[in-house]
Amino acid sequence: MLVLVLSVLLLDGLMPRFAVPQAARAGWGLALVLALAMAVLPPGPATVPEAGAMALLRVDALSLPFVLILSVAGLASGERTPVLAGAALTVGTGNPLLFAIGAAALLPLLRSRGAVPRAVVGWGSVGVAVATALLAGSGGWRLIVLPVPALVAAAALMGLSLRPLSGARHGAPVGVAHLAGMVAGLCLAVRMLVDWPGGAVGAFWGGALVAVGLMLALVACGRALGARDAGRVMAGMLGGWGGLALLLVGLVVTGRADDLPLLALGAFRALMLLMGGVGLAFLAAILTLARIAEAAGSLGLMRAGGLAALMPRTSGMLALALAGVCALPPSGGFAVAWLLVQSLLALPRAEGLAGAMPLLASLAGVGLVCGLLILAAVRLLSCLVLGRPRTPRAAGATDPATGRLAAPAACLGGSAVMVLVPGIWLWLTRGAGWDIAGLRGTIPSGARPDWLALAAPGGGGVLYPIGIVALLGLAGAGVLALSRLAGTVASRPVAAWTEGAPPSPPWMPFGEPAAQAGPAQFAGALAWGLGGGVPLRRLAWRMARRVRNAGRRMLAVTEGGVAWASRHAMGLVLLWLAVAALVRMWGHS
Amino acid sequence: MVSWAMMSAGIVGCVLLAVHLVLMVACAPLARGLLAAGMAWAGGAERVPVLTRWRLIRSCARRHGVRAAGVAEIAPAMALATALAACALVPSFVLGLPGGGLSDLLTVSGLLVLARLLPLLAALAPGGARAGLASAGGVGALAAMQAVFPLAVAAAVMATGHGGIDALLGRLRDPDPGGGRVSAMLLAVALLLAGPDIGPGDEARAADMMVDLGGRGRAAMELARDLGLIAWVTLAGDLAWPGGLAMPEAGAQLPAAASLPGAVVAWLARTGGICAGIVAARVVVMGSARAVRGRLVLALLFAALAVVVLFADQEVA
Repeated sequence: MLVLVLSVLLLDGLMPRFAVPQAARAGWGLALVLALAMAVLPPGPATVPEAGAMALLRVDALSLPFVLILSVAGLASGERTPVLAGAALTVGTGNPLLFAIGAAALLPLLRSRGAVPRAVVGWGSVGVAVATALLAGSGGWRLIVLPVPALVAAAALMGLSLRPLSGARHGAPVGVAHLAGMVAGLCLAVRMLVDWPGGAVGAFWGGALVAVGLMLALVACGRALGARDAGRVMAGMLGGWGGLALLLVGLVVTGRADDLPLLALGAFRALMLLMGGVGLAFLAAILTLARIAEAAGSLGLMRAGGLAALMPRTSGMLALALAGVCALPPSGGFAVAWLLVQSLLALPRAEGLAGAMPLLASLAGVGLVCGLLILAAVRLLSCLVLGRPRTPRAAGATDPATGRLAAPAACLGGSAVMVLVPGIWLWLTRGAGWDIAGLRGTIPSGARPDWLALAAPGGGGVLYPIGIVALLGLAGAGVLALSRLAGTVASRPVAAWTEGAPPSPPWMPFGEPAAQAGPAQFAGALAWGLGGGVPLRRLAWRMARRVRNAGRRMLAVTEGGVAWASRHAMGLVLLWLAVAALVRMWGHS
Repeated sequence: MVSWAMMSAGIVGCVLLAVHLVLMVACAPLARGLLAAGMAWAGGAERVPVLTRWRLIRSCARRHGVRAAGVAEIAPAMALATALAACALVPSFVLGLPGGGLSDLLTVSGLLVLARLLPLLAALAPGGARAGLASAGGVGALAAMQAVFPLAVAAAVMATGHGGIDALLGRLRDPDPGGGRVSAMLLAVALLLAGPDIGPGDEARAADMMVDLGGRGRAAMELARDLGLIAWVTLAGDLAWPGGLAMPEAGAQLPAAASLPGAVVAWLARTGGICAGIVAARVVVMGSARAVRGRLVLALLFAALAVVVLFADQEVA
């Protein structure tokens, strides 16, 4: 059966040449059913080592969650691309060498879809190769060096980098390939840093991963805020969650290094919820954006707009998907952020105030990332869905047929179920969690997932996502009942108030674009947070000018010095000989 | 087996929860009215009655609505429901009500942020410049303030070991909370600086945002704003002075009936005191209109101080 799963996936990667289009979906459906069956069945006796090719092709418990998510992505999108199949094959193997080959082959595929910038493909391949070579032997120094290439490779696969720009030259609009790269990179980080090393990677590297993940997340959120079209905003937001995922991997590493299995388990559960709840919400948003692009043309934030009135169902779905991606209470993002904050608080700290300061800084950073994600989502929503249409093409958009929205709706439903009843998804991935936490033999009752509750690893509280939803539902029902009891006051629909402006001239039927809230306002609203744009820029220019002038002066001095030395070369050589002889004589005496 | 005593305790708890909600809704516009009246009085402006907000909400609810976009139909009701849910989670005069297990510091702050975010979306829906610009500024400030809430949770968990509000307040009521008292007070100040919309430009911005709304939607939006404010004020008051809350004795499921009126009076006194503090701070400290950055810095400072105080005690001892 295990071999069958892999062969179905492999066939699916090769199929577009000769199969009917529906075959891809059917293949992914079969893969999903088989993977689900493997996850539902109790883990078999792993004591019998399989030999030869069977051992190489075995899909173990740690691969299953990643394969499941990729199968859902393939089934929902129905895309016939080798990227998804390649990623599924890569994450499905538990052999370091096969994994490295798969990851190195995946990078150019991702590059061809624009999910990964060109410059990092080479670095990522080198990172994969070096990390695999380091994993091949045993030795203390290998574990000290290992995280650097593994981190480079994981960041390359996830499309994370420190570049702040988000234009067309730097990245493509979000697609299923981005999600596949994210899942593969996450699998690589977990495998290479936690699963495959012989001993535990040091706790220092856990802290470094937290810092690096936070920085990458902040930069990716900055890209989302600067992007000019909806696809690139979503790509930036996906990068932000990818950075938070690396942070969680850092927490898992720390938990393993300090022998805190519950911390490692809690962080890994947050990672699973991130991949399941948030990842499926991203998938829904990606598919919805594709439908919107079919109906409304360009997804540029300056060109689309007003889709809430034109495509109400699709816009509602996009809004729900974006809500699932933000860290606000009933959503999956909030559950992940809550677990993340509680896991950070469960970290072992050095004594005293100095030990608490890095923790406080990383907590504030996590909060800032959550806030920037909200800001990016509101910016996307307000420019694409709210407001008025800005071009005739966008003004002609209509909702697609209901059947075409079924796939994103199913993804949203899956994401909601994963978050509201987290026990289902955590139970399906229980084997991976126990492997990662290093729990073998009898599992303590605290490590078994609860159906409805998410418990903080440090014992700081319990979160009931379904309770929050029930409370909101009750409050909403109360408000509705009150408004019904009070009787209806008819409201009259009117055109938007133009604030005293004259009616639009005939050559500008959609109103003056300069008099509407556009994408720049949201990005500009944070300028005060960055220390005031203009003075900072002036300071930077002044510094640059000073550095340039100093460089010129130094160059002139150096040139003069070289010319003087060449003119008096003979004298200088004689002087050097004399000095050397004197030093020699002084040394002997 | 559910015993009769547990069932009756549950019913009484639900009644107390309903009383708590009704009190919160009744006092929410009064609190903002008190702020407006206090600021007018301290600033030497014309006298403003405390009931202004209630009158505005009532007259809006009776008027015909004007609706310019579809989102503006549902956003006010959603904002009101979210603010009500947040209010249900913040204990005002009694601890241990049903649903108290849900009340987490991060959850409550997230719900209150959501209740502030929904009106911003409704303001962006018609596509007007004035409401849109005001709303964009509001979203930026809200996003930056998100940095404070994880710090607040950290301070609470480090001081008492609990992130849930009921457990946290119960621990703070202990005779020896171990340095947590001062920390909780600083935390209350940080939350007040970061959470509610009480900054210098916020009134004008809210008026700009609701320029396209009228009728019952406007009334719901105004009430949601006030509910958010009173939820923040009540939470801060609870943290600063948890002694005023009525709490079940050991072994009992509900607090003694005799302690409830005193607890309600204590809540009203806390709320009034905090409103006076806000008025003083607004008039004396935050006079300028460009105060968002200052508020963020101050809130981060107080949240960090709430942790620093814990360790300062340890190192002295």
